[in-house]
Parts: sequence; C-alpha cells; structure tokens
Amino acid sequence: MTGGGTDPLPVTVATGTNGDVVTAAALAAIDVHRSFGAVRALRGVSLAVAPGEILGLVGANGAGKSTLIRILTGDLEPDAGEIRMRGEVVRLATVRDAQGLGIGVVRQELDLVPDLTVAENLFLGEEHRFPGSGWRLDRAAMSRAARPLLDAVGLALDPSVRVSALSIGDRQLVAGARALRDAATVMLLDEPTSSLTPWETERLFATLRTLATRGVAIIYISHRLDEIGALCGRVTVIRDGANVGDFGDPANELDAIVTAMTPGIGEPGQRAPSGSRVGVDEPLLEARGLRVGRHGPADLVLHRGEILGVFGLVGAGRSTIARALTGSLQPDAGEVVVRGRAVRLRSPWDGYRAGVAYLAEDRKTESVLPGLSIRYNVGVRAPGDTARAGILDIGRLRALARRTIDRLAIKTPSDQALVDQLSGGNQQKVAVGRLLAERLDVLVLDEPTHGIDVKAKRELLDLLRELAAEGKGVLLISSELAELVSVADRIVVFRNGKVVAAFDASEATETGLVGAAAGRSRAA
Amino acid sequence: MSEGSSSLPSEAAVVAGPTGAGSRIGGDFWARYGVLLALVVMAVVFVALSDRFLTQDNLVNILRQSAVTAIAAVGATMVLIAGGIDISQGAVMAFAGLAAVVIIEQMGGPDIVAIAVALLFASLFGLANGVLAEKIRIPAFIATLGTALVIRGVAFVYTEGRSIGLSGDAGELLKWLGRGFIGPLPVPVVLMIILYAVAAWVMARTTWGLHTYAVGSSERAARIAGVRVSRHRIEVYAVAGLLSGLAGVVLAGRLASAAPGLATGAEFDILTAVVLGGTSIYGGRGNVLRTLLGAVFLATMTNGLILLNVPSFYQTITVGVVLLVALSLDRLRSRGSR
Repeated sequence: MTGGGTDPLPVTVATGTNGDVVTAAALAAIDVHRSFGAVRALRGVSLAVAPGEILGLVGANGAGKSTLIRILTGDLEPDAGEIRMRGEVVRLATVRDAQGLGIGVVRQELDLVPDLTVAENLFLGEEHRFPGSGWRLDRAAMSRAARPLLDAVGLALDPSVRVSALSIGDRQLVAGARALRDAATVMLLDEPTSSLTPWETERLFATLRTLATRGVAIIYISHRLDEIGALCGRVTVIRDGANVGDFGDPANELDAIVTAMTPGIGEPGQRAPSGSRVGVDEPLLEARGLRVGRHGPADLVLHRGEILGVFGLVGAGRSTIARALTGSLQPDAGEVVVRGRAVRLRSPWDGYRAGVAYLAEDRKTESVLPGLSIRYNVGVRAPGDTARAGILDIGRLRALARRTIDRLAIKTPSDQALVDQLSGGNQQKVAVGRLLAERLDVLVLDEPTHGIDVKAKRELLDLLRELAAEGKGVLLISSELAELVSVADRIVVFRNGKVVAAFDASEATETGLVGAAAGRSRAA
Repeated sequence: MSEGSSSLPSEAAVVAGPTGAGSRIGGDFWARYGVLLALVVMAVVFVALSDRFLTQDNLVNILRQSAVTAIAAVGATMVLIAGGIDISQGAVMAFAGLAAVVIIEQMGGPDIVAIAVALLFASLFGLANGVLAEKIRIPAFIATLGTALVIRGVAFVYTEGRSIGLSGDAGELLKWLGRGFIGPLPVPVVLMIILYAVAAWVMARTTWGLHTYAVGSSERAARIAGVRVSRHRIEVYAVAGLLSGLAGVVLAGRLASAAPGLATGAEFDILTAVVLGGTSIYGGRGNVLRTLLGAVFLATMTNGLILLNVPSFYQTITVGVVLLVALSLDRLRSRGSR
C-alpha cells in the first residue's frame, strides 16, 4: 500500500471492491486519507457496502476504524479520497449532511438524553410541530411517528417512557431506531454490543438481519470475531490506516482475519532475558476473583522483579481491573492481595500507602495536574523527605523534580514550567515520574507509552526493565504487541474482564495474543 | 532573589517562571498585573477629580473598609482554588458577629470566650458546607446557599429580627478588634496583613496548600495521584468558615453591635475581590496575595465614588459590572489554556 497515496483513481483496494461494486454500493469510501498533525490515521482506505449487505469492519486498536466512521458520518472530512453513494460523489461536511443522505449511526457511547422520553429522543432536533406553528410540539404526532421506527427494531414499548427507565439493551435499540429516523439507507454500528447481554445481542442481530432484508446497507464494527462470523456476510480488515484484506466467508476465515489484523512485531529478540528477574516467586500483587460490574472475575499474580504485560482489545476490562487493584475503583467481589495479605483499598491514597500506584490511561483528565508546574506535579504527595510536618522543603522538592527530569529525559526549560506547556510525551513522563518519586513496590501502568514518540518510548521501556531489576513489580497494560513482547516477562490476555490466556514472553506470538483477545483462543 | 522568589509555588502554580510564560503572556499578564494596573489608573483619576482622596486619613480609611471583606476573601480564595465555591460567607459572618455580641451582652461571658465560641460555630458551618458538597455531593453553590438560608434564618428567629448593641464598656476586646489602633494602623488592617502573610505562606509552602491547588486543578487526577480529595476540600471549607467568622467578629466589633441581616450579600463583594485578583472560578489557579489587591480595588472604588457624590445605587451597578468584567476575563483565559 505504500504507493496508495499517489495512485489516482480508480480504487487500489487489494480485493473485492471493483468498479461495479462501487457503482452499486449504497456507500463507498475510495482511497480515503486523513492525518492528525503528524499522525497518519488513514493512509488510503477503501470500502464499499451494497444495499442489503452486512459488512463487518475489523481492525486492532488504533487501526483507524474510528476515524473512518467519523468520516462516513460527516463528523470529519477526509484530507483526500472520496465518498460515493450509488456511484455519485457526495460531500459529508457535517453530521447533518450525512443524516440528510440517509446515513445513520449507532455509537458505542449512547447519545440519548436519559431524562427525555423515547419519542422525544427519537425526534431530537427534528421534532414534529403543529402545522402553521413554528414552536408548538405535536406530541401525539411524534408518538405516532415513533411507532414504526420502534417496530422496525423490534421494540414493543411505549414511546412516552423515559429513556432512563430502559435497560441498556433497549437503549441500544432506541439508538438504532433513531439511526433509522434518518431514513437510513446506510446504518453504521460501532461496537454496539460492548455492554449488552448475550440475549440482547441476539435480539439486536435479528433486528439487523431484518433491516438488511429490507435493503438497508449495514456496516458493523466490532472486536468480537465470533459476532462478526455470525452476522456479517463479508469483512473488510484495516490495519495502520490501510486495507489489508477482504474476506467473503468470514465464518470460516476467522483465523485468517486474525492474522490480517495483527500488526507485525518490530525488533524481535531485542529483549532482556527473563533470567534477570530477581525474587521470582515472591508475589507482590494478586487479583483473586476480582469482579467490577460486568467485568471479571479476574485472577492474576504479579511477582517481584517482574513485568507482567496485559493485552486485550478495547473494552476488555483491563483498566477497570487495574483500577480495582489500585484503589481507584471498589471491586464488587473478590480480593486484592498485596505481598500476601488481602487488603481493602478504599482510595488511591490507600494504594500509595500499601505501595501500589496506578498511572491512568487518560493523561488529560486523570494524570497530569494542569496549571501546576512540573515540580508540583511530580511532588504533589510530598514524597520522601520533601516535607516535614506538612511544611514543604522547597530545596528538596526542586532536587527531586530535577532528578526526575534528568532520569526520564523530560524536555523542559525548567522544573518550574507548567505541565500544560509540555508536549504530550513529556507530560506522560512527568506522570510516570510522580510514581517513581515514591517508594512503591508495584506500578500499574495503563498504556504508558500512548502518544509518545519512538525514542521516548524506548527510554521508558528501558526504565521499566531497570525498575523490575531493582525488585519492583510492574503491571504493564498495553495495546502494542511489539512493546509487550519486547519488555514483558509474561503476558496475560483479557477478554470480557477475564484473563483468557497467559503466555511466557518467549512463547508469545502476535497471532496467539490477538486471537486470544478476539476470542479465538487455542487453549493457553 | 530571583531564585528565592521564583521557587514559591504560588508563582509556579499560577504562572510559569520566567522561562515558560512566553506562550501565554497575554492571559498571564492580565491575571497577574491587571488589577494592580486598574487600581493605579483608578487612583490617578480619583486624585485628579477630588482633593480629599489622597490624604492619610482617607487612605487608612480605604484600608479599614477593605479589611472585613479582605479577611473573608482569604477563605474564598482557598475555596475557589480548590475548585469549590462558598456563598454562605455573609450569613456565617452575621451569625458569628451576633454570637459574639449575644454571649457578651446577654450571657455575660468574657470576650475571649465569646469570640472563641463564635469562631467555633463558624468553623462548624464551614465543615457542614464541606460535608454537604463533598460527601452528599450537592453542587457547592446550592449546598452553601442552603446553609446560608438556614444560618441566617436561625439568627433572625433568635433575635426576632432586632439588632443587639454592646452597652457601655462591655466587649472591650471585641470593640478593640473592630475599632482599635496599633500605631497608625487600625487593628482590622493589622489583622488583615498578618492573615495574608500566613495564608500566602500556607498556600506556597505546605502540602496543604499544594493539595488545595491540586484538587482544584483536576479532581480525578489528584485522586489517582493519591490525594484525599474530598477530605481536603472539606478542610478547605472549614477554614473558609473560620475566616468568615473572624470577619464577622471584626465587623461586629467595629459596629459595636450585631444584627441578623448583617453582611447581607457580602459573599458577592468577597467573590468580586477574589476574581479581580485573578483567581479562577474554575479552580486550580489563583493567588491569595492578589486577592488583597482585589479587595483594596473594590474599597478604593467605593470610596472614590462616595467622594465624588455618586449615589449608592450607581455604586451597586459599578460593582456588578466590575464582577462581570473580571469573570469574563477569567473565562477567556481558562478557555485559552484548555
């Protein structure tokens, strides 16, 4: 695909999408490119879905699915490439444009207003009004118009019920009905089953199949390959923002799909030997039957001197379990065991006192303290000897901040600079530096290399190895296979909040990990 | 000197050191020096328009008039920096002032006990604000509005709406707090100066101050970083209550009386002073010392308008406009930085 960006039309998709398909397609994306700053999210993606077809769109985390969906629903415009409907080029500059052309979407996070009724939600922004009056709502007309939409998705409920009274599954169907309101010729569904029960999922699938027989084109995005196999007649796989395969018989090609999804692993073999571990058999942190909401029960053990990698696809419950392990969420059941003793961590503060700390995935809202300098971001808990009786020792605090800046190679003019003024990667290092400032036994790091450049990533991973060699335990949650395989001693795979597979790093293969994460586990 | 002063968190937490300020110079400049500049310009105008403005008596008078608001504004600054808001301050001031006067005048208690009890009540009200906002999770504006109504209501019920005066030579200490002098300076002004020095030190040099900035900067990040967010905010509300009480006691001393309707609406003057000083109502950013400038600005403006014989209703409008201008600047600044 390296030449994809410079090729003129027609389409350069590897398989499947020939000219006829594009002409007939209810919706086709042709050689779509989109960058965010220096990051090339899409580098020439094409897909086409025919009326009445259910097309699966799959790819690992960061493959570019979300960007593509946003482009197809008018939320983003592509840098290059075109969108066609029934062969005609269309411009989707706004969400309203897409709605007007009959493209409806059901998103992962339901955008329903809980305090309004089903009917009000269905017609939000498109309310029925009495004729001749610009502002008087015609509720009766809205209820009548709601009926066929609800029938179409198989919901037999009263449109005047408030959405807050509905189950998650019913809400999902209401969202589907709203997508239909836009006279959907095309319906996109983005991970619609991530919070549904199996029964609700079955009901949703039946509804989608019915819609397809009526000629609606459906694009179904999911990580769950069993669902893809059960529902979709064809699958398009994207990886690193480009097409990598098209599969016409997904139910029987799941292994090939996994292989296509799997990014190649860079620099194999460049890892520290596991033999360097110290205190191999001393467990530092354990989850025993840990259950939070619909995630779990999860069981895992982190040993002294070990980096335990945690892999899984988005929504697998890795962060939730990590939070429960460190006190930022309360488990509903099960035990957190620190150094062999069951503990109850009521808050992250308790976690720090037990020697366990968490680095959250969302840097902007949960790790750095905007408006505070690097110095105070690192020393916010006044670790070690930087305060006595609540009085800060500014000299020591400054020394701590400067040591952190040196050790993590943070690029900043001074430790007084506001953390907001740093680049994302350097902000991340500051957040990591905060954990290193304390005497902690266990570091639970949630996607610590997310959004930082290659060199900084390497430095951070080397640092994690050093920390493990010093006898700490590191739980490393990551979606990057290369990173996990190169640095972890063992890797566990999460799916549906449970550990579904465990690998010794030396025997972990990319397809094995992705397969386990997507539900194609060959006994681990 | 630059090393010493630049190591204050109050500097570091509000604005970057000299090295980092470049990219945000617009917003930071006005946050740091805007009120000082406005104060100077306004003073020049008043000097030009009135020959009674620039006299020692009048300047001391301005400081004395700003003292009560300024004392309560220390607490308000801390609460805003911590990401909360307290609009019960006027009611707490009234209750504390009244409690002190009632204990001295009607119960014959010694001054020191009366003052201590008044401050204790005020701290407990602050604690209640904190618990309502942080544990029961009522939005702080509504929670403190509720406590304000209850507190002032109780004061009205107890006094049947009447004001209570200190008779003869009763309450010497209380009156001294409000009316006394130490050298050329009124006692409330001295109290104000000491309080600001201590508060600036606490905010800059203690973990308590650092945590106040942290919880206001990002509640979730502070929590995950191991700060006990709720507990800390409750402490901040309690301190704000205590300082409101102190302001109320000083006010009662100055008037040598107290009434349930005392300091009605004072919380808005206080908030105006704090926001004028560049503290963000969105939390995490602010500086105690600049609040003092805000309070002096307000007192100077009121004083000058009186000297120029502007009717008091116009003064109310002026304060409102100043508050809205300060809030708009705050909003523009926080939008720019996010």
